[in-house]
Amino acid sequence: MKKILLVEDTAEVLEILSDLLRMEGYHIQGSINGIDALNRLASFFPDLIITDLRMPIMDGFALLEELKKTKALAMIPVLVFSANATPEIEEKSLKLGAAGFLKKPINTDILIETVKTILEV
Amino acid sequence: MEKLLKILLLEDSESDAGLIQRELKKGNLNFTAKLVDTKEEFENAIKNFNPDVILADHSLPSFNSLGALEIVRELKITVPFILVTSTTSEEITASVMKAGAWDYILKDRMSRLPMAIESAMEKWKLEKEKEKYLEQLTRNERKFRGIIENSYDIVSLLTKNSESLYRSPSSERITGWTDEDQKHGSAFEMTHPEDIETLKKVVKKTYENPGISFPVSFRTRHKNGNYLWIEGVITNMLHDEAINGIITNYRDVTERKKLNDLLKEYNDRHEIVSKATNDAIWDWNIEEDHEVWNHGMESLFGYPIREMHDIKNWQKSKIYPGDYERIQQEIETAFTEKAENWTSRYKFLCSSGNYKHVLDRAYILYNGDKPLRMIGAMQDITEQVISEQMVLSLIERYEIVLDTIGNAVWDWDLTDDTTVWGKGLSRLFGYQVEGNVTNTFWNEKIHEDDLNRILEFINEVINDPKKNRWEVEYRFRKSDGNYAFVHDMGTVIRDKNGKAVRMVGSMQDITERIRSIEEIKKLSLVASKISNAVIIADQNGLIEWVNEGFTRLCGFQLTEVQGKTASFLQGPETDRAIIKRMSERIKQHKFVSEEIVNYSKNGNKYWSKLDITPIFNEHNELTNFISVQTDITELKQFEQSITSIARELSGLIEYANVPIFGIDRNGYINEWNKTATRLSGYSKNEVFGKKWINFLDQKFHAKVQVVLDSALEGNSVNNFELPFVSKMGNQLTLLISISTRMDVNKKVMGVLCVGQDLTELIQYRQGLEKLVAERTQELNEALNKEKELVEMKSKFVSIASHEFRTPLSTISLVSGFLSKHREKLNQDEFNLKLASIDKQVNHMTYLLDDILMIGKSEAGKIQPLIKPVAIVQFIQQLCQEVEQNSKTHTINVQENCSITEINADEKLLRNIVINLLTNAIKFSPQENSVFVRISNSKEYLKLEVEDHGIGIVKEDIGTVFTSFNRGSNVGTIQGTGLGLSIVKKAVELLHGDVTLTSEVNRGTSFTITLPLHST
Repeated sequence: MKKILLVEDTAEVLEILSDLLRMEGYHIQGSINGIDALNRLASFFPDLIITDLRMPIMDGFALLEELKKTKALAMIPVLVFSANATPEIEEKSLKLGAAGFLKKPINTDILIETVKTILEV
Repeated sequence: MEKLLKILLLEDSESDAGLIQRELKKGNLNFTAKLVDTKEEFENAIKNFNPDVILADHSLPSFNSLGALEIVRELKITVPFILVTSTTSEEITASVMKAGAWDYILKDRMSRLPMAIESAMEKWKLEKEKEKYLEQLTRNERKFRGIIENSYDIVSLLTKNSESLYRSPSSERITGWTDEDQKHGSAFEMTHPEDIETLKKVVKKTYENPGISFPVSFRTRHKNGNYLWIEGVITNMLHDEAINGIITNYRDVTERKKLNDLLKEYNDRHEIVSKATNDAIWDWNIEEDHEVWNHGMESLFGYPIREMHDIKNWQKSKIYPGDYERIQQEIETAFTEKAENWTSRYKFLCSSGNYKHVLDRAYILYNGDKPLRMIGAMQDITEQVISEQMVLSLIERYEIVLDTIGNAVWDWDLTDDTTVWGKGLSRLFGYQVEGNVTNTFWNEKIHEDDLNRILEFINEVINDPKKNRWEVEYRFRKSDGNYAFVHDMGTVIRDKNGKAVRMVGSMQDITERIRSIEEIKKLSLVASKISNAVIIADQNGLIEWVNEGFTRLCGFQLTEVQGKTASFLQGPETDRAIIKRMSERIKQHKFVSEEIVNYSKNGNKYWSKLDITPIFNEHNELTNFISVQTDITELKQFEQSITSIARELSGLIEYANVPIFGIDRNGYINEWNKTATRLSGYSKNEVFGKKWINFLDQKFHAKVQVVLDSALEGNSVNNFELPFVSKMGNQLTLLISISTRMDVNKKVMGVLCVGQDLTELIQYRQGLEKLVAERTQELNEALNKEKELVEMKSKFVSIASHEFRTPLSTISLVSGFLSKHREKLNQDEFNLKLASIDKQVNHMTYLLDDILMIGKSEAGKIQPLIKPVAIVQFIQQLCQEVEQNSKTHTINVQENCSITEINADEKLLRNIVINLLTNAIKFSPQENSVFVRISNSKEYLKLEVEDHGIGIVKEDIGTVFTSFNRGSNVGTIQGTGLGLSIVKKAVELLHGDVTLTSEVNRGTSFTITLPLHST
């Protein structure tokens, strides 16, 4: 069973995303910001991290940078989504090592397809 | 001439014959002529025509003049025979003259003919007289012959065996032998060995022909060993029994023989032709004191030919008094020394009264110690002497000049190879010589490397009659042993035959010049490479050298211009005044720098910047000029175009319709156009050279000075407003632009101010300004409002898009989830998902309400609905509602109110309380409680909402109430920026007031005061 860490500060979004991906047969854990995610990664090693960019305390960009610092974590593919999905933001995300970029509102099918693609590579 | 002259003309050309007769007629001769052209005719004419004079062409078809002369001689005709010939061969002429012709006339000099005939006739007459005289003399002599002969001749009687029977006493006197001596041998013993054969032959003839006298001539030995010439006759009288012997009659003719030999030698040596025709030959018999002359006497000096006596007196009357004493002495000396030759030059008086220079060369014959005869020839050397004197005086002048300029002058006599040196020799080279020195003196001083070259060169000049002047340079040793470079110039003087007889010249020490030329050569290497045209000229301005740049610029090669002055560069447009100025400075040896029009070889005109520098040697003597030319044509053209532009500009400035004036670096006015004059009332003359600033009001001085200084530093000043009082007292305002004037080196020379009279404009503007200010204010207000709206719109778009996206995202995910997994969910799970969609829809509805609320309030469309509200209860209810929605915070409410109700609008109150509470919770994420306090005064209700959250940055406090404005420290905390804006609008609608205190990271407190009884 593939493991996914979801990072999203809005509880409703976190909840429904977790439900969706569990139904697809993934093991899901959630975090509400970057710091929370890094703490979680000490005991949980996912095959994929899915994160929002705009979060309190530590946002998605900071998280991407932190992940790159540790060799083991740097290997984990990261899928980024954002409500403020300008081309500049997308470019910055990919530069920082994101494996994929999705726009809010998220289309369920696209989300599932993208996750599947990344994990099967 | 009264007697008719009969002329026999031997001539085959009729035209020549005609010519001859014409010439004779021209000469006023009274004559009749007979023309013949064959031998027979000639002979006949001689016999029958009996001519007085014969004129003969030399060469005729069957005959010639020599043949004619032979006939004349044979027939013993003594009339003058004159050769009239076209031949110029001296050989033929000489042979004809020798054969007995009196004179000869060249056909191209026929004008001399009449005179020649006249003089020939004169001479003939004299000859005739002389003949008569001699005949008479002979007759007289014959009487005394026996005695004379006895006394002078040797008479001897020989036997048939040549033994001496008798000899006269004179024999011993003449031969030195006594009778005793003679007895020892035959007469042949004394005879010169070469003559013995001849003598024997004659003697033999004598024996064979008794009674006939045979002449004999031989040499016999004197007792002293010398041979004497003997002439005489031998007669065989053996058949005469009375005598029975051979009679000899001899005479000593040694002296005469000697004279003949001498004459022969003389003739051979001195081309007899010229002597016979041109020279005056005289034969002075000293003992007898008479003299005979040839025709030269007449042709040269114009005296009739005659025998003269009392020669000393005659000489005295004819020889130039200044020469006479010397000549007498020279002759005396010659006689005393028994000199055989005598030569002298002197002046001889002609019949015309003029003196002619003559060269007189004579042979002197002696009888023992006594001079017997002098035979001489006088040659007219007048022309030669005059030209010699001219040359000499020229040389003298030349010598004086050259000596003074420091040259060594020399005069080299080539006939004896001696040289006279001028004073320069000692001055230049340190040698002291006097008079003539042999030329070896000079040869020895020439450097051995130069010697052969120089001698060969000079010899070549001497031997080539076409060359006369020469110049060489060589090294010449000075008396101190050092060599000087010398420039030696000579002129050859030739005699009339083209033979060089003399050379004069001068030597110049050019060591310094050579040295400086060498230096110049070094310099010229550099100079040749530079692009400027360089000329090096000598002190007289004659070009010695030019560089490649010169050739490039002017087109002339060095060889074309060497030795010329540079004036060939000038042309029609060359300014003569400049040339004159230049020449004057050059004359004063001063540096010259001019700009001038010159012309190149192909006639192109160009402008040249010309610098001429005189060069002096160490003695401060001028040696050279160096001229450097730069082609400044382009510069000149540029300058001219600039000048014309400047002229145009100054015209523009002068007549411009705006005031224009110039100020120099020191602040003095140097330009003032017509408009400036008109406006200011000051004329050009009143302002020129005065400080501009003095025309301005004192109180502007400082400001104007700053502007002016700035402009003089090169900064242009635009639209500087300057108050000005005109001469008439009018108050003017000028708007001035100041630009900097620079010279070609970009150095600021001053400024040019262009003004505009703003006086009227200013007055109009002042009225206008007020109007504009009012309008501007209005416009600004409208603009600001518009600006706010635009800003609000863009903020709304960005915030709304974000704030709506999150709930939309949730709804989208949930609906996706439901449609995907509907069948797998039970009823409860399904309802839960639907509830979450409801919740997001509610949130979005709140957001929309907020936005509408703002929209309405901005548009002033909210009408408060005032009614009594149970305020404490109302607030507590809202607090509970918010607390329930929040999962993180509790709300502590403190209530201290004396009233329960206020008059207010419920909706607005709700907006105020809900927004303040949700903000307090949202902006204190680390906390878990917010605080609400409610109190009242007599007139106001006071509501405080406090959190301990992130606080508001001081700078943002003024703008937090503006729509869509959010604090700069909100980070990722979501929000529309509408909350506080809504609070403020609501408070205002209720006529209340809102204030806040806040500290970053410590929290914020809002205080709302509302009137208890809003209306």
